[in-house]
Amino acid sequence: MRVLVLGANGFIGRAAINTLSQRSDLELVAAVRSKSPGPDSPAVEVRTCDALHRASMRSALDGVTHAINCVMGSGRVMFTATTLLTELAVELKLSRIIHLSSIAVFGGMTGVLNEESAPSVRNNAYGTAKIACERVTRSAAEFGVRSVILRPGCVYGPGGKAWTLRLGQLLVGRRLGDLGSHGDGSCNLIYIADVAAAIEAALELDTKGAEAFNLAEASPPTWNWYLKNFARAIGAVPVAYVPAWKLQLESRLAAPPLAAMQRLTRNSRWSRKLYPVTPSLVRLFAQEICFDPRKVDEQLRLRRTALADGLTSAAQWYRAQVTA
Amino acid sequence: MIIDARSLPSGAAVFADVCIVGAGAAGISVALQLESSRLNVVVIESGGLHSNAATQSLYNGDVANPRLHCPPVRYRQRRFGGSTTIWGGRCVPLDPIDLEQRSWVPQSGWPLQYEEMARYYPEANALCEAGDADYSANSAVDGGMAPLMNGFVPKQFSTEVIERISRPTDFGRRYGRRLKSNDRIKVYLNANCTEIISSTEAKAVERLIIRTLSGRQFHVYAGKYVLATGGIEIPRLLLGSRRNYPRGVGNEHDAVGRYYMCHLAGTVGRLAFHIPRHCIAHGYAQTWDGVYCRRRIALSAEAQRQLQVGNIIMRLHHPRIPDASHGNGILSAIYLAKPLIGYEYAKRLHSSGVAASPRIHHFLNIAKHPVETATFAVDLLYKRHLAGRKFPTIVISSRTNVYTLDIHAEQQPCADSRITIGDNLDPLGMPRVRIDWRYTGADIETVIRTLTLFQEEIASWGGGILEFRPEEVEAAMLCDGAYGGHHIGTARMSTRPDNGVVDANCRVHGITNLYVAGSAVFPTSGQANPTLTVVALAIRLGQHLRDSFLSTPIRISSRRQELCA
Repeated sequence: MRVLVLGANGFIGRAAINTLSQRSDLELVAAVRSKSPGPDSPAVEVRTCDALHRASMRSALDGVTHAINCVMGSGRVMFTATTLLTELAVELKLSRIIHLSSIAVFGGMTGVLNEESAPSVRNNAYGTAKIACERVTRSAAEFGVRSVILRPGCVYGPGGKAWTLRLGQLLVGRRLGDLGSHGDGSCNLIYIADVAAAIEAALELDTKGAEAFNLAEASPPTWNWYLKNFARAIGAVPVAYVPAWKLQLESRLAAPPLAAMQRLTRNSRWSRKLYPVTPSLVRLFAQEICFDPRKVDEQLRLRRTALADGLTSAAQWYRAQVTA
Repeated sequence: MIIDARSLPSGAAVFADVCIVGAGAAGISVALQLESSRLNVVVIESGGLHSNAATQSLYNGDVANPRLHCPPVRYRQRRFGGSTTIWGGRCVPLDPIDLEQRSWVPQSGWPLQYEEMARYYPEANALCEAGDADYSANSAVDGGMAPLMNGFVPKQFSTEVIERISRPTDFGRRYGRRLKSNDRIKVYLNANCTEIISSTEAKAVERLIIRTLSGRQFHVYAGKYVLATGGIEIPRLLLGSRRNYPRGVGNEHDAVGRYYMCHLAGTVGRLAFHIPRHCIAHGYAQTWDGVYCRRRIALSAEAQRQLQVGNIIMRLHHPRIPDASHGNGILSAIYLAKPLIGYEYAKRLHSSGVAASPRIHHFLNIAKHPVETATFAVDLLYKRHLAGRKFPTIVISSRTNVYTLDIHAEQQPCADSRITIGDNLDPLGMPRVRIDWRYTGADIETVIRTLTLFQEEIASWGGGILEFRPEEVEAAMLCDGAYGGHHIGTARMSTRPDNGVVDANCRVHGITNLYVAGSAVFPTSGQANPTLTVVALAIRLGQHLRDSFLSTPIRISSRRQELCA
């Protein structure tokens, strides 16, 4: 089995490489954008690949039997890369594609969902792009390429920008904290190593066609719980209580200029101070949605990292980042 | 789901598995326990989302001695969220001794083990947004709290126990969104339960009559009913429902409305310290999750047994505000601002039992300490009025190192202290209440003996001196009347029907499907502010109801079929 990880320098791609490089029974190929350094492990072959160009992708897929699609970017980038990969997988007769999607495909839905639940068509740009990518990936099954779609929830842990670094910064700045009734939504966390373990399990999953899995905590805490306990773990105490009016001011007035300034200062040390609390983030904190864990438990046999352990290592990484 | 009852047609029938009357701390806590139970729940709330004068005036009634008890419209709110819309937020659990049968406290003893109740405190703490159920000064705050009086190690008191302060959580605002988004929970606003119709044969409640101030009337039929309307309205409703029970529902043994308790509270004594000012830490500290907490001076259980007194706590307190001789600009500013402060919080400024100084003296105090007073005003704005978690109360470090003691003491059960109903009717035809609150000599003795013992302990320590005159204690405890907002004991819990109203599961004796949630069921008042225990018992009741439906085949859906047939 020769496995290509597309987007190997991303948060999930790197974790997948780390986990899979422990396996001696597979050959691992990391596809990274040009100029990006590849993974350190000598056992991993590094190929530069522009996921938006057919020829480049084709040469990256040379001799590969399984492809893991961890490409992140704008909707257009994700869709183009996924379409190219799927077409080439069919053409090159790959055995399997593992596609990293997101629970964002369910948009603003509430209640207990499972893998049979239809994604929400009323969705934002990111969710809509993820749905389109899933559709393309699934179509490969008709041509004999098995596909496994993994939809992680909020992936946290060492290396995580969105749910670890960003939230940490907002907690330290006392811009997030206990959100009262606005933080009662389910916090569908998944630890980064568990996503990597799910990818590993998906490589060998006994399936003939296309399968999807929602990856999240089996009994998710509320966002208030996560925000308060993560704040405690990183030392951002006493935790702030953020009243509703402040949250509204943040998301409606402050978020657009902050987002623009953050784009301007990208990669500078200022950028971390400018994370916006976007309206979609505020909606997510109150969204009561959770996922039936049975399919993941039974078919992927995923043993989720205990929340307390996950929080500890996420906090350790966060502290190292901010002191660096 | 939240519904305005004024939109229902007159004569409508509403069906539910559980009907909860009252959407305050108790009612909402019961409803939240039934959130994922798949039971159909109806919550009947008299008020709307905001305060309304006409609705609030339904609380009007008589008070036997207005010097001893505030008017019944005060310290209570007839609206969604109930009195949590105005409460101070102090959260304290009862102590194990509070539930014991104490030979020196008549009618004491709960039909509950303390451990049974303590199981529900962590969740009650969470609902009250008061953090962990950890009430020790050593562990609640990382690194422990500073000692209250450095070097003071009392034998008969503890300064290690703390009170935690809720945000204070308005249960309507905080949990309204959850109730609103739940299809199985229907909250009817502007709906007043005016009568409980019960059957003497079935020994069960058949239905509730609900009226709106707009003139509509409808009925609620439920499998089980929970009264959660507060310690004064619960006896009013039970006593006023006389259709098949001439003495009122659950009142076969004349216990409904009796044993009405508040707490005795007041400021007393003069405690002058010899130790440096910085060795006194009587203010608030914050826990890791931002909850304010504060040490209290609690009389130990052993000392209560020895002294044969009720439970009691004290706090170091600032001097009496109206007397400008304290020389404090902040206190004087508060005194001058009293017209801007709500009745419930300004009461002590109006009637603290000491003669108020001329206003000019207060202005002079402010002029002497302008920076301190201005800093306080800014803090008040940021830490209290604009903050999501409000700084709880004013804490002043005494310039002269002299403090008073703020007392919060148990009131013992007294059958003659009672809520009755009169002949006057409110606009909905319900009899109005008459409040006859009484205290006993034993209540005053609790304070005097405790202060005497504390005086001895302070003297043997040597770090200060406590002066008080026992003959002044009664006046000091009663100058503001019964402690406002704590309405306890009027539907007390008992093992036997002849000395109480509800059983250990809070079910009315002799009625199979009627329950009471709230401080009305407390047999004794303890030292603790009641809300946390109200919520803990409501959680327990909610879980009991949920479990009882699992084991009982009677569901309201079958009753609906009967009625519709």
